[in-house]
Amino acid sequence: MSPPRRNCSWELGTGNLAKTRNWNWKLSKLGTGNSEGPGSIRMGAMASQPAQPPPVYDWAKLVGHSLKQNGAWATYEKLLEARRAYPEDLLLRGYAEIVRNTIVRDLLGSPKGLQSAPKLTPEFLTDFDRFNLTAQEGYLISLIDGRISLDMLLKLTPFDNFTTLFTIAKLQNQRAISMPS
Amino acid sequence: MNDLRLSLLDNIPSAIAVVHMEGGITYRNRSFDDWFGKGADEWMQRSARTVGGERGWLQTFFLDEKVDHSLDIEFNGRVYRVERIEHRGDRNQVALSFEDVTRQRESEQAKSDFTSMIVHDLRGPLSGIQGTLEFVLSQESARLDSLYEELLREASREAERMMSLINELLDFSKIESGNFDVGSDSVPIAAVLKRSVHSLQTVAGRDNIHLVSGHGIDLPMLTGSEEKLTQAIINLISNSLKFTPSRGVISIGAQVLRDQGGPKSIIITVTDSGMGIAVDDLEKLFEKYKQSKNKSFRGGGGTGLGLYIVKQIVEAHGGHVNIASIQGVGTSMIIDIPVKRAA
Repeated sequence: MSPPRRNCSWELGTGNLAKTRNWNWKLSKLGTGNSEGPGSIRMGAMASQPAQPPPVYDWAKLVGHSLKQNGAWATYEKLLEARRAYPEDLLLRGYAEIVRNTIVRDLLGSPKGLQSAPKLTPEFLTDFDRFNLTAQEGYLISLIDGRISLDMLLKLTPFDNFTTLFTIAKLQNQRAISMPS
Repeated sequence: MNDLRLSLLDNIPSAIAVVHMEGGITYRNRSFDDWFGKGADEWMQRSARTVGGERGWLQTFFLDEKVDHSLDIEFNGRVYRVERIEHRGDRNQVALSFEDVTRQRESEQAKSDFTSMIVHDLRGPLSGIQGTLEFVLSQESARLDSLYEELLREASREAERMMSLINELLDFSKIESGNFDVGSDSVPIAAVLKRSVHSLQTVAGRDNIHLVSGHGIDLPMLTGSEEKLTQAIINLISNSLKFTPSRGVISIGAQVLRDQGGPKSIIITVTDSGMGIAVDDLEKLFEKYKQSKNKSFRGGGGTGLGLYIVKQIVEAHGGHVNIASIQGVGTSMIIDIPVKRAA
């Protein structure tokens, strides 16, 4: 069965670039998961459907504008979508990594840095079914008690450090946890 | 008009010949005759043959479609750079120009030998200085005044930096002399990444930069040189450290790209939250002696060879290097190395 097709548009807010160009792509959705990690990317699914040639967009400008106007998470979601459409485009992978790195830098940007201790939000405690966590996120959440610092979490989890920090940032973005200001 | 053209061709300093696929010379100018003489016909026919599975050099000009194809070949103890001028219309013939590059090659070799000798001579005494400083700092730091201790630490850091510059020059001279073989050992890439991160963790911590690894341990083995690949990753991280401000993040990631036959290649990314690189500078970064116009946060210039060496190492493993960069946000160096290197 062929994967479902959908239209995707990356509108760059109301900036000049958005006025001059309309970044509408017809993307075929090649995967379903949004999670990004150090796992494998299976290309076999592409066999019956040749990969589209990489677009000749100025990704640096496009991603830079999107970061300013839509924030890191929205930009990251769009990059994942673009990456699923153009899995062979290594530069897209690089831009996704830059955005992931920015997200982790923001997480560590508080004065306490790695000594910050995340805590569960009241929203999560009262309505946790809404969050639809992955196993990895669930495991991390189970360790968070408001006393364990990020540094300690990195030591306790079996995942690599970047994945752990990125997952914590994701949980923070979903408001499942909060970081002390 | 035709005579004029032939006369012009006879008077240019390069040797020119039109050669048939099977090695027959259908035109030669005067310089060609002067340089190669009567032995040229037999030499050209020999170059068109395949002997013991090895193709003669002339064949590459017919098989390779690259327009700017050039080749250095030897004839009677001299080295000539052969370039294809024309290869259209009659596909059985090719017009070639020959340039005598013997002196150029000799001077390059002499330069490379000299660099190699100097670098070896510098490494010995510098290792002694480093060892002494490390000994004093590890054994005697309790007895040192804090000012002296800080000065010795600074001297140790500078010695370390000088050693890395010298090592870069040594690698560069190896690459330039063509003496750069990456071998075919099995390389545990996860261990390479772990070791590279570990070796620079202290430097990153000193500059208040988070150096974070983001790769699993189940990465397939690569074929090549563990030492060289470690060096390439260390060069990339060191480069990021130079241009990342305090409280920044440098992440090292690896992913396996698979096809139906299993693991196809490993993609390694070294991503920083530095100032980014202007689009115009991206292409030039991997050229030798080229440095980013950005000002380093750690002070001191480099040789401009670090990324050039990375590119040579990665290409020797059959891979490619790419850069993604957003000014004011960060840069990601992307290495793509095939799991099975083409023969």
